[in-house]
Amino acid sequence: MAKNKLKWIFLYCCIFLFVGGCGKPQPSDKAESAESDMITVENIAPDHILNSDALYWSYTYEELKEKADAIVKVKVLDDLTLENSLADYESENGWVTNFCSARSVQALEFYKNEAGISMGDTFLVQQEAAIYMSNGEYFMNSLNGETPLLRDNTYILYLQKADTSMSGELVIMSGENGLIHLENLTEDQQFIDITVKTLAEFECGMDEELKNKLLEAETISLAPEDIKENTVELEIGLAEQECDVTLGYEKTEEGVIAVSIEQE
Amino acid sequence: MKNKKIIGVMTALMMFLSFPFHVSAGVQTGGFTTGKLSYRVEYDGNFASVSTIQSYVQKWNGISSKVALTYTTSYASSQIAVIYMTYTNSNPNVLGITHYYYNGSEVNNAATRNGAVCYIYKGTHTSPNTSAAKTVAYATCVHEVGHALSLSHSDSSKDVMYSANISVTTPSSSDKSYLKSKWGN
Repeated sequence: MAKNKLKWIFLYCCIFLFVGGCGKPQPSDKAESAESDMITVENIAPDHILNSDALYWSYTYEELKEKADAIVKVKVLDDLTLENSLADYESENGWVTNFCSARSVQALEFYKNEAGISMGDTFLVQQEAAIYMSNGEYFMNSLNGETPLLRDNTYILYLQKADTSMSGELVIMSGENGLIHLENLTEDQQFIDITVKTLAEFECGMDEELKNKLLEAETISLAPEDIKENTVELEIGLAEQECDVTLGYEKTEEGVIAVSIEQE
Repeated sequence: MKNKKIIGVMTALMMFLSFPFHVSAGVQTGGFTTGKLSYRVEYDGNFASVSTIQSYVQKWNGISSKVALTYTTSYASSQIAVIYMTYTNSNPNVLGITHYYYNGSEVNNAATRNGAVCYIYKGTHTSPNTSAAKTVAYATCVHEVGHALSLSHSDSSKDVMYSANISVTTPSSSDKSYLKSKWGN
């Protein structure tokens, strides 16, 4: 009799534990576990952070405007992860032949839109930075050491539709040539002319005379020191707030303007 | 008095020698440990013979006595692979990429390497098979092999190592200086 009672108690316990343990995880549990499973740059060993050298076809400001299917201010919604990265491998030795990532962004403002995106839309853009596994090890690679898009940061992107795109999405044109990081305007000094002309034409309420002067300049270069004499205060709209920028400028020779940018 | 002079000269010499020398902007640290390297070519023969491609790779020969690129058909004995892709990169604006390896594992461009793979992509900015398209492809070839030899990007459009659009297919005097500063005369 006592043995029977014990059997029943054991059976009840088993059923209780089984039912309790099989409950579906709550969405928050799932999201947390998905987040923790993601491989990000923080998981990559320092000697596995690579920058392959690349040669891009680069565009002038006028060419970028003409060739882009969309010029759009975006907020970046995700981090670079293994999950949003894509890579092609050589079958013989497992080496990576090509890589990129498809990053999620939200459209904040359009300056050109022939890509059928709507304001507020979340869509994917392709950047040549990726996390991939090669011969059993994780690597992060970006062409020419370009910084991957940073989550919650604001960018103006020149985007192009490309049949060849690995992600099937819009491609950022020519790496840093078609990318302006609004939280860090001098991040890319090679294409400072694109940054200044884009701000002049699209972003800031600049007076017409200065705007035209900047847009017509053949060369815009970054001055070695802050320019104090001719300055203009600009307000740039970021994803979450406004940002004050002091733009210094001086004509150094015919068609050449030197600029300095101070950003708060 | 003499001793003081000697001590002074020695101190100045020590300070000079301990001063951190800056590596030229056009040269990467690390790289191959020798400039005497073998390369192979992978190519489908669409618009040029392998011998034409060899002539562009070997534009880096005869500049420094420490650099000599020798063609081989052997996969195992080549340190550099020059691969002409028959397709466009996933970003059609990418003309060429060089990856670096050490003992089969991918490494950074500043690390010691014993292998490099230069990919040259079919561009979309010039009509295919025109002389303009060929010039871009050959210029990209010389540029990417320059990376394999530890040269980084230059700011002058006259250089084959210029970072943007290039039509230069022969190393300029600056390119040659960079190569010599890396490898010696």
